[in-house]
Amino acid sequence: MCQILLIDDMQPVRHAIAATLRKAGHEVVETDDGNKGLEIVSKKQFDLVITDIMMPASDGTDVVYALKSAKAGPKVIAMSGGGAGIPAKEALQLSTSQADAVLKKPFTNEDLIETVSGLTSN
Amino acid sequence: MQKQSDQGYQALETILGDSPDLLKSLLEGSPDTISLSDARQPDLPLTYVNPSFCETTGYGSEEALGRNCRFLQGEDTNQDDVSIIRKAIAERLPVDVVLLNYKKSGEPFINALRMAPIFDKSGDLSAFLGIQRDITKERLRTERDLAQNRLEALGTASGALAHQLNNLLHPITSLISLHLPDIADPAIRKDLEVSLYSARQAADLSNNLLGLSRGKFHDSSDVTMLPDGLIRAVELVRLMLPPTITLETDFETPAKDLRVPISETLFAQVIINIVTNAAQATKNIGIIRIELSEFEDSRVRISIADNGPGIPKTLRDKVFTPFYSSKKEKNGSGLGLSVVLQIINKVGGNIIVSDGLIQPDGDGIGCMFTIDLQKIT
Ligand SMILES: Cc1cc2nc3c(=O)[nH]c(=O)nc-3n(C[C@H](O)[C@H](O)[C@H](O)COP(=O)(O)O)c2cc1C
Repeated sequence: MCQILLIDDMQPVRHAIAATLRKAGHEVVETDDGNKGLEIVSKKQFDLVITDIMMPASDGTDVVYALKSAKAGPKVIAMSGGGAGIPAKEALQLSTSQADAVLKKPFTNEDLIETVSGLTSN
Repeated sequence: MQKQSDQGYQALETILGDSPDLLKSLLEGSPDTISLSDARQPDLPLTYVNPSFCETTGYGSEEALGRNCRFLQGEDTNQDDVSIIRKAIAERLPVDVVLLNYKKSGEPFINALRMAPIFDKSGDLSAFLGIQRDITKERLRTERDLAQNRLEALGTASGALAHQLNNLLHPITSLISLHLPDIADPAIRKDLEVSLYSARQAADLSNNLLGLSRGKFHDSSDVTMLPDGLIRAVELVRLMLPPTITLETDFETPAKDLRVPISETLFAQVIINIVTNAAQATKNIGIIRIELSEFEDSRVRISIADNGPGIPKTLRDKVFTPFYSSKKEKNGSGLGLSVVLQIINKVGGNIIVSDGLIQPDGDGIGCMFTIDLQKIT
């Protein structure tokens, strides 16, 4: 069982991911915005942060950067929607290279659970 | 400024009066084609053509002089363009027209013609001046760039669309598959399986869109991977065709990652062009079969066959000349296949036209375009 913070601005997507994680026995805190997410992390200990990096309102790439710059932060999974036409292409590449794992949407529940347990079991 | 240029003209006239050679040097050295018709003789015969005229049209001055310039026109010259010239001549007005002309060899070219009446000192019409320029190359280039931009825009738009679709589809597939195992009633489970299946199909479709956009049409790399690049191009063209067209594909290749020396954007443009032509040929209700094969160790062949009315053997070379189009369809620019051939030739490839699929009524045979490309080893 892990403590997971989930950041995604699309409520239905977030709901589905959280439901999948909870069913697998994890404890999930949800938020829809990168800045709120960082605030939550500063107050509570998490094993893992899963964040969308392409939220129009707040930049998920900043979240990855902030968390991975800290010394003993949680593991980070970056979720990307793929596709072209997203302006912050370099930022995106940077954050995917910094994250501990990347999940490309659309991913299956099995992909999600496998990636999470791969990062948190050892 | 005004004063200076007036003075310039005066100086020019003085020099011209003194040195008739100047006019000759100007005309003979001009990269533009210059022609002069005598307005005092019936049917405006040409009385002067400069060397560039002969170079551009292929006609020697002895062949051109004494004839009306309409000998440059031909089968596919648009008569509306011609009547614009006719009207300007009747009204003694200058005119700019872009029209299709033909060289002596029969090769068509786009002629940007400027025609102007010339009046003598007493104000009488003495001649018509024609300045022509062959703008075929520029047109082809513009056309190619436009098509490329359209593809890139489509790629970007489909990427954005796919991204949104994925976000909408994720909760559907994820939540149904999450809860499906807990459903005890087999009938309900069956229903949910159907909706899960449909959502997954939609996600596949969306991923195809994404594959199209995922940088593929943006890269400047001059390499296309086959069959992947072909699969993407076919997915794209499928979206452009009415569902009444049947697309059959056979991309079975001995080797998997074939590489051909052409950027994927241009490659896609070629495929889309030929396939949409084929679809039109079948009046949008036929079969188009696309096959990929390797031959002679180092070459790759992509054939696109349709079961439309076909192209008579005598006309098969003609389809690649600019502006050739079966006259019925007025919407095409007429540049399609000539651009396609140009693109393929440029990368050292070739396109051959041959017999395609048997027509639905069994009477005739459609058309097949085979693209032959060198593969990168
Ligand atoms: C000086 C001059 C140059 C012309 N140059 C061209 C030309 O390059 N290409 C063309 O198609 N027509 C050209 N024309 C137009 C044709 O000669 C002719 O006037 C036109 O076809 C309209 O007349 P028609 O309807 O009797 O043929 C030129 C006409 C003049 C007077």
